[in-house]
Amino acid sequence: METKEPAPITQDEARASLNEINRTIGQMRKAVAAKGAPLLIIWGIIWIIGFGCLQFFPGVSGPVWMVLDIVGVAASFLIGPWSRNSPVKSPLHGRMGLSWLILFAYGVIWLELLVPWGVLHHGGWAAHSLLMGRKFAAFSATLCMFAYVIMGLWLDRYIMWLGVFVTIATLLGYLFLPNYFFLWLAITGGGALAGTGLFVRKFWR
Amino acid sequence: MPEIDRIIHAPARLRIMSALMALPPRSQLDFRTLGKSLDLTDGNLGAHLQTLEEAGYVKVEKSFQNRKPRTDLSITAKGRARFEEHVEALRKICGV
Repeated sequence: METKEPAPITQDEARASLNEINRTIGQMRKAVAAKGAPLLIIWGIIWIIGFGCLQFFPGVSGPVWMVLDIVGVAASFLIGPWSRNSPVKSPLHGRMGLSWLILFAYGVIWLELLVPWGVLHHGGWAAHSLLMGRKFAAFSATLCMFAYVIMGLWLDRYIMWLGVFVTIATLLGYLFLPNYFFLWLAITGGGALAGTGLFVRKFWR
Repeated sequence: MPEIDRIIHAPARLRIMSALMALPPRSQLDFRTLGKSLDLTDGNLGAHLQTLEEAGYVKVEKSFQNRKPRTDLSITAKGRARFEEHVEALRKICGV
């Protein structure tokens, strides 16, 4: 019995296949990114509340930030890409989680060197020294965004551009809006994080 | 010379392979997420995955998570190489 040879692939068919490949790869990357969007939204809200509190109620901002950080770290462990429920499992994610922990430790060490714990602990550092509070906030925000830029280089460029945008916004606010710096960080930083998360969640599903 | 792979070339399998290629190397993707993203039914996706698994292009791993079954999919080194060769062959036909 004669076996039938498959028909040769035409140029149009090949072009359509290449377009389909590109479309599917883009669609899949966006779908995976959309799964991480809730975490961006949570951190955006944390920044809005935390920096808003620093602007308007500096005396209580220390404990507020402590609670917000605990909520954020717990949420990151539970729904981050490194969590057990993540739809994508990658050896890269474990390293990424570890990198965040190392970065957190690095930040704590440097903040302890720059602003001794006693100053932070007694009576609210922001109330004692507005300049120190601004430096502290600018350092923390740009350190986080540095991690976003690096993470974006490995995972998805939109995370990198988000990091670049918030870093530039932080520096501009620090230099040109000293009296409204925390409010500026709440709006631009928190707003960019939450806004990007909402956009990705709505349009990249 | 790169050759067209007839197993990969079928439209649904081309999309499955493309989706798995979109992930970082050695990554695994959940079966449900893949089906939902590609708008394929469980039965349809399962049948195509079986063909790809038999060809050695895809690895299927079943496990339990919180007492619920979970199926993770990953592309093998052979699958990655064949897919890249297939894309190269398509480009050649297009004259790119």
